[in-house]
Amino acid sequence: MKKAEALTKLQRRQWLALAAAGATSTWLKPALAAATATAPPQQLAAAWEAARGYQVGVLAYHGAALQVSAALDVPTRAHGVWAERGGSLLAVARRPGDWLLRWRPANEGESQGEAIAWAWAEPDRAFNGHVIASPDGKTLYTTETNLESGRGLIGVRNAATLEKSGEWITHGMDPHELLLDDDGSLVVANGGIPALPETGRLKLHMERMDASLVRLDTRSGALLGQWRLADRRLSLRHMAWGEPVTGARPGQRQLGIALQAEHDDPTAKAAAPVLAVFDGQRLQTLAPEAGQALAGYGGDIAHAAGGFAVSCPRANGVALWRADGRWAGFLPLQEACALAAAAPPGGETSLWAAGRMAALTRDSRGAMRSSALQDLRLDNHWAPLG
Amino acid sequence: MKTSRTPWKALAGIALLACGAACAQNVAPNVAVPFYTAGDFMRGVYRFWYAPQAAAFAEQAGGLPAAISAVCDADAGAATAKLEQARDRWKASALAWDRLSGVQIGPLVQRRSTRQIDFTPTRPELIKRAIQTAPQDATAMESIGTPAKGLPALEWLLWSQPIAPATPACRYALQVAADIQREANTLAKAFDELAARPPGKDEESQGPAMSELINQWTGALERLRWAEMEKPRLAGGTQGGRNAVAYARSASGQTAARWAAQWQALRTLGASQAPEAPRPGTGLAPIETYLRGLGRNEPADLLAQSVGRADRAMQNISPANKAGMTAAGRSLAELKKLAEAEIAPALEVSIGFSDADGD
Repeated sequence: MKKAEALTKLQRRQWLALAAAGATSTWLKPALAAATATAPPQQLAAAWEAARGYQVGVLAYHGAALQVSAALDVPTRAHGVWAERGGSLLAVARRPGDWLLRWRPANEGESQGEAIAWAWAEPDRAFNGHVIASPDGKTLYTTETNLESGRGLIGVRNAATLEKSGEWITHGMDPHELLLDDDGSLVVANGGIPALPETGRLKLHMERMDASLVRLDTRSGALLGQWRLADRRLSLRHMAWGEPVTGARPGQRQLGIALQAEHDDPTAKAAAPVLAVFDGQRLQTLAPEAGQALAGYGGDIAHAAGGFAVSCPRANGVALWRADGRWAGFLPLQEACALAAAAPPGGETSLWAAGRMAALTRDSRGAMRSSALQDLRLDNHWAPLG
Repeated sequence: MKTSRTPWKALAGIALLACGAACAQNVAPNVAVPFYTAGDFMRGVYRFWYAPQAAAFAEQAGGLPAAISAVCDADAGAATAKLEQARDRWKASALAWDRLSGVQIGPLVQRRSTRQIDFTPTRPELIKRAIQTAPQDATAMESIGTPAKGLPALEWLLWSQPIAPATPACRYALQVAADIQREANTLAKAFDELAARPPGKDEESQGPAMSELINQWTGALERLRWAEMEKPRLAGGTQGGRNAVAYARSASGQTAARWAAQWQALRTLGASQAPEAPRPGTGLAPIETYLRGLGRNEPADLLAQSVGRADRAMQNISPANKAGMTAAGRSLAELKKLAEAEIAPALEVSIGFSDADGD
């Protein structure tokens, strides 16, 4: 099938899916009607599973399709990716979580990326899949688990060598994504799910689940604050900064947190919210429109067009909220998961969403573009490059 | 130590162990297979795999303290021979444990037995410190950290820095052996109780137990491929070997035997090795047969084929056989993928932490 035909079919499928899903939001209609789509970014870094196994790599647009422009085989599943200054990338393993990798995408004419350095978790530690760098780029922070106690940790690492120089406790279990705030503090989502190496793929002792959001002082690791949701079966996992909070301290932004429900009762799980918002003081969930099922699983989160977008792979779409927290609509996309918000050179911020077979780009005016994405199962995240 | 095991357990153990790769033969799709409830399936698994394996481990581990004690009490002329005998006993105990713990369920998970008696890598500096502490009994051993005890610590005391008669190290080794024996006896008793449960008793717990087995079987495939085989190779080959991780059992030269024992557990629980399916309660119905009993022949066929491929790939592999390890790793990864994508859904089992799940 030619690429142009494939795209047409995908666009038609999106249309049909929208219609079938009853996505009648007026907010979405002009978007679909728009004939002109935003120019997509050139490249996106991500981790995925391909036929030959797990890889990290870069996807680039080739006509209407997103295709692998560089890939590097990795031994186990990678989860989060982080683009460093200078063009190198970091990827972190998740379950089993043994390694942190610095690698370089392929140079022109090469098909393989190059591993620059590996860091291996100590025998009693596991990486939890996310890494970020300090503003000066000299320090890396990784979320980790102490395998003896199950306690959550931040690994503090020398960015030049990837070696660990210290650890801070996260005051919870299962720390997942972490972000730096403008004031230099670190916010960490403690997913709260108890897990130990010998329990393999089992979720055990869920009655002990304790998710929380914590703020840590990056000078000492000291706890500056901790917040919990009333529903203890909502796991806080992925985060994105949003709009400035009106009336708050200068620089205070909303923090959107994608949730994953762990209720024993399937009905409660299916109806659970997938987005929580933190304004610096209060942590609260936002509900979707009545009747909109999101299956209790938020896979990724991004802030675009003034509001939060949460991917819902089990509901096959992306849930959208406005800046004021009101529901903004649902964007159908089969197994939607990886999200990113960024602006192409000279352009406005767009939302990019990756699904099982296709990716969608939606600009600030709502114009959308669909791209084929085949033969890969992307992990939860991707990061725009360049 | 308990030795009065019921005869069916011993026979089951012997039959399963004697049946190697040559027996890898799935139940023919056109042969009638009885329907198994989750309870039937788990009773078969407990009675004909876990209880016999736990009994075998308890039996081997039961001889460890005496074997170590013989080294400690030996005169100069007999020390070398006694050390060799202790090593042999350790090898037999370790293999029995590797077979039992190849797929960890029930008491193995609840007790965190791997952490208790098979923490790797062992920490020589902690062992040396523990020797100075000179623990005398079970209570004193509780204060010793897991990296300084268990089978890996005893391996270090038997091979890396071999114990000599009448030394503090030898007396510590005796306590480590007794500690392993206690855990083995506790596990044997626990699996014995599970195996002895009659049909109808605690039936409601059998669905979750079956789900646990499928989850842990899937996780064990990944553990064997990655943690046991590939991670030590890769970690040792990067950053100048600074982060090298030794293969488990490398000091004793038992690495390949350990892999084989773990694979034996996976293969036995995964695919049928008998031409006929057992009636409920009369034998082990592996996952493949359980699927057939539910009428799910298609995933059962795929499972049997994939286990067969992995079984062939797992023959004669060792840390020295890099090409063999690569091929085995591919086969195990393929099997794990199948378990997640086809087998678990066919059994309506949710993989707790699935790779396809995201995070």
